[in-house]
Amino acid sequence: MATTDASSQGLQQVLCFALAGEAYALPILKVREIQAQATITRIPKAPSYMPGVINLRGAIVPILELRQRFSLGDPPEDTRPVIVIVEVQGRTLGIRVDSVSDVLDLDPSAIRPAPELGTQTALGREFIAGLASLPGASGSDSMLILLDLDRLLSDGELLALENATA
Amino acid sequence: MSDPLAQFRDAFFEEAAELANGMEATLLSLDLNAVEAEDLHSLFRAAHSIKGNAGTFGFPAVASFTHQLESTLEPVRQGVRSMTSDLRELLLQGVDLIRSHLHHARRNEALPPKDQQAQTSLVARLQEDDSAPALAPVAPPAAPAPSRVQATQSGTGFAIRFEAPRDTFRRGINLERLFRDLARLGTLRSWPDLAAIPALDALDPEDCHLAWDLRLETDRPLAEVEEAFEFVAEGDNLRIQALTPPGTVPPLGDFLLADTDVSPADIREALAKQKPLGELLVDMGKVKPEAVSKALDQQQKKRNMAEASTVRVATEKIDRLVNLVGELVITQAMLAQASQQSNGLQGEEQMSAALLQLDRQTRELQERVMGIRMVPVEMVFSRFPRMVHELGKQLGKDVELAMEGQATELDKTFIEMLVDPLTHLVRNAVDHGMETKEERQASGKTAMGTITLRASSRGGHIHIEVKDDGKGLNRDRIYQKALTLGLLQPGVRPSDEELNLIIFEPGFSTVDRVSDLSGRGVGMDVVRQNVRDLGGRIEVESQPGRGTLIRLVLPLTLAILDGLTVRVASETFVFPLASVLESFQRQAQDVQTVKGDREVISLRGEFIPVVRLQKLLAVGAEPDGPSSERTLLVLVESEGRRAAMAVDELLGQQQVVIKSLETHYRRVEGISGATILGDGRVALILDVPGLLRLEAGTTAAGA
Repeated sequence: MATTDASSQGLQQVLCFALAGEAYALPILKVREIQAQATITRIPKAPSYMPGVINLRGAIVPILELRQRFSLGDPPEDTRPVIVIVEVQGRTLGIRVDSVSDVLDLDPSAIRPAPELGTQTALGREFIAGLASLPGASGSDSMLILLDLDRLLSDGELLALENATA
Repeated sequence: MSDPLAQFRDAFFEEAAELANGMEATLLSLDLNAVEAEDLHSLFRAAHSIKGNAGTFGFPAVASFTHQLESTLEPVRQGVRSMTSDLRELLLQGVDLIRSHLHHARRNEALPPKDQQAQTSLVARLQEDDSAPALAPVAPPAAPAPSRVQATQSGTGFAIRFEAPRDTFRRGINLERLFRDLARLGTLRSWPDLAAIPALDALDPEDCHLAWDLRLETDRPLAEVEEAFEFVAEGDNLRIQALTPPGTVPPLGDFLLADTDVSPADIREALAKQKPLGELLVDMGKVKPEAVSKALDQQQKKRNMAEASTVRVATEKIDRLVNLVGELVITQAMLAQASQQSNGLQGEEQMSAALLQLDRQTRELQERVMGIRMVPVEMVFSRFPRMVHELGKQLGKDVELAMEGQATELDKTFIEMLVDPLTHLVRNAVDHGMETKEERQASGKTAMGTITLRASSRGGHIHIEVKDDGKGLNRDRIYQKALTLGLLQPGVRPSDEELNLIIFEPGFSTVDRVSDLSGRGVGMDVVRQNVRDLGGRIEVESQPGRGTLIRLVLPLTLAILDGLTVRVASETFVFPLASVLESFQRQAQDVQTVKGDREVISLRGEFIPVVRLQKLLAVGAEPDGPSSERTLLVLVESEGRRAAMAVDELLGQQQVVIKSLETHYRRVEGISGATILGDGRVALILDVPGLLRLEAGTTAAGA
């Protein structure tokens, strides 16, 4: 449907999701599917941001808790987290987010590099592919944070995975 | 460019390898005093089939060599020549050469020089004691004996090296005509090689010293090219090599030949200076020759593994699968219909009937699909008659090999991984287990020793036994040796069973003399490791003077495991049943503390360390554990160590399908994999040796 239009105009399609009140986005091409809550089996001695695995139609897939990864605390009681299944570097992985909103076509020229955010935040600049402003309903623009999945995962977790398997 | 024959070529290699195995088995089973005509016929047929197929698929080197074997066998099966023990050895060597031919042809390589020499001398010896002319005049690919024809396929053409016979002129052969004939077959380029012409004062003008390098681009078959050389080909003066087969990029030399003045002779000279990478590195002093040969071995292993990655499945098995899938489709339709049934009660009835059917069909489907991976043990066993035959000859022992249960089926992965351990066990049995002829007769046994290989399926496990009727294990010597090696503490002598198993300890060997074959200290522990990697265990039975039996107990497949599911805190874990000895319940106060925090429990007079899984794996909340009245313990054993694992609940015993954690996640210490439970949740499978190491690590760190 919109895919051909979007790509022909050089637009980038992203999946938007919410995390602790902020709007984030992932390139849609990395996303395989979206899963409702599944039972997570805890892995002994796993880091808190990668607590365990789920059964994705017979495949054992690890879950990345994005809130924990970015030190955003536990989700409020009433949220029903959603798992976005992505494929990064040949591995399948579930990313747990608060909620998924919609798919947007972004004009690459509207994406700006992220400013220096300081070193104290867990969400360092290196995980951000860029920022895009979206026209908000109230007239004021809201900000969308584009995540760089490859870097996010190569940084800590997958690196640790490679070392562990080697 | 796709090659229509490519898809059959693999089948050819497999079939040819099977035929060669068959020839070997027949040769070994021949009773030389009363040779069965049928055996000779089957040998002949096998050679003939390999030859025919090799010709069809464009492997003339294979074809022409097998033709030699066939020609040798022809007078034998007609009763003109008798089958002697010498001839049998020669034919066995021939089988080896066929294998080497196949092996190299599969990689588009030429036969290595070593094998070529072996082939030349073998062919000569085969004909030697051959009164009747071995080469039938109808011989189709009769490229003279040491044919270096290494055509991988016809199609693009041939590179030909032709050295005219010395007496060409005297015999009045018109070489010009030969070239004209060739040129008619396609596009011919030629480079004369005058290097062999002697200086004028030494030249006999009636001798011919000419040689040519030719490139013939043609789509005609090899046979037509060979025909042109009919009157001049003798010995090894003619070499025909297929040009690069379609689909692969030709070597650099081909381009240089086409565009520059370089002649084939120049290229040969340059190539002769070229050395393999390994040799260059050795010359540079960067690596030791041993390191290079080790690396080559590894490369070879990788190649072998890549080759073994296909399975031949009986059509019958596939037909059953197809039928079953058909039934499943019907069941699915039944379920769909039942779910739409307006009449609730009737619908429910239909639904439960359909579900019952689905249950049966999925179970059958699972079994059948697993069955595809199953291959008969024969695949490993078949190599041993030859090995035992050779070993016996080498060691001067009379040994025969008996095999039982070759049809027992095993997972294909197992088959590949069993080759090394079994080879080692059989070698050991012949080398160490078996006495010499004299020793046997002195102790009143038959001169002929017997090694028995037996495979059988026993309730969820496969037993593979290697039995010899030799002298048996010398337990006193094992005990003494174990003491000197520090494997045992002096004082208490362990039971016979425990002593038997010590031979599998790393570095253990009671043999004082190190033979060429075994006794180098590597081996038995590797055997045990291999068997453990397969999820199996080893049992040893031995009686002095009567022999030794080593039994490998293996699970049916790698993909399914008999498990004991347990609950620890809120999580479910699976113990591989193979490592569980028993489970029992104790009063909490029976668990005693040693050195402050190490817990032990006494079981039938033995103190066994208690491992709290909840704590070790750090799952769930702090236990109400020690305070609760009763403790549930699962007694496990691994690598000779025992431990009682404390769990919260035993959930049951079931078969689980093993899933890899590593595909998308990583290896986790103490966990060997994951499985999916009936309710769709993931449960982790415990790795008992890993857990024990983990436990040892934590206590060591804590101390």
